[in-house]
Amino acid sequence: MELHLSILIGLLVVPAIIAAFAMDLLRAAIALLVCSLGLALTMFNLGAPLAGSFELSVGAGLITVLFVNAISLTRLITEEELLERTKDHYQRFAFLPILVLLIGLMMFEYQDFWASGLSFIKYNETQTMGEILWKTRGLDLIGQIIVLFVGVYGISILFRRGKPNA
Amino acid sequence: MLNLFIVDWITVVVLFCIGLYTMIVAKNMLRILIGFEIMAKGVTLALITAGSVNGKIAFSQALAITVIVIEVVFIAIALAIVMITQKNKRSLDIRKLTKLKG
Repeated sequence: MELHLSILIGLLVVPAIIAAFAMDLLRAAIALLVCSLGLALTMFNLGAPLAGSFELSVGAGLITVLFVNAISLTRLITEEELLERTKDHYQRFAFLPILVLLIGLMMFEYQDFWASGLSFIKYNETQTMGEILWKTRGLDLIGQIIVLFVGVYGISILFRRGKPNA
Repeated sequence: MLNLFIVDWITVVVLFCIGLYTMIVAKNMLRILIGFEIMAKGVTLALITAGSVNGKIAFSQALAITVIVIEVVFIAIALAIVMITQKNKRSLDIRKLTKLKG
């Protein structure tokens, strides 16, 4: 329990706060990487090693590479822009605790409903994850493949070399 | 188990709210995507927690993997759009995208 709690707080909540609050985008991307690591460890801890390793390779690896790549292609900001941004950066997050409190209260009002999450789903409990993914949730896989193709097609359209539109 | 469940759900609420709030207040497009990522991590944790509590961890893993795949594709496309906007407008400020075609 202590280990689980320290992973949740130290590697999930604190990096998420740093990622949201950090002025430097690169620091925010690295905090997001630590957040992914924390999520993967939590998944291992809750008995979901496959999803954990997937999160570790894709969430922590691929997404961080994409973010760092995008950040490296952005231009540096000027001194005036930096001053303007630092002026009200932290004040903008003043209402965050209120939002956390409101959504938290709403969640605990319907605690039984959330606790019964996924309990309405009927499936053969002896099935392994692979069998569920391929047999029970076959449509999900088709959807994933379509989404992947759409992603590849979208990126190839966006980075197409040719005559720029007038 | 219930204590673990409550602790996990508090984390889910905190992650979701941080992500949502960042998406609302941020003006930089990359920061908005970071907010989305934090929110998506909260949702993935919610799925795994729900499966763990109800003994349906295999099912929740399958759903979590689907969520992660869609999240990655979304981020890849969104970052490509951000890069193109940066190239054309020389800025990542979402407020400067008010004069689009269409």
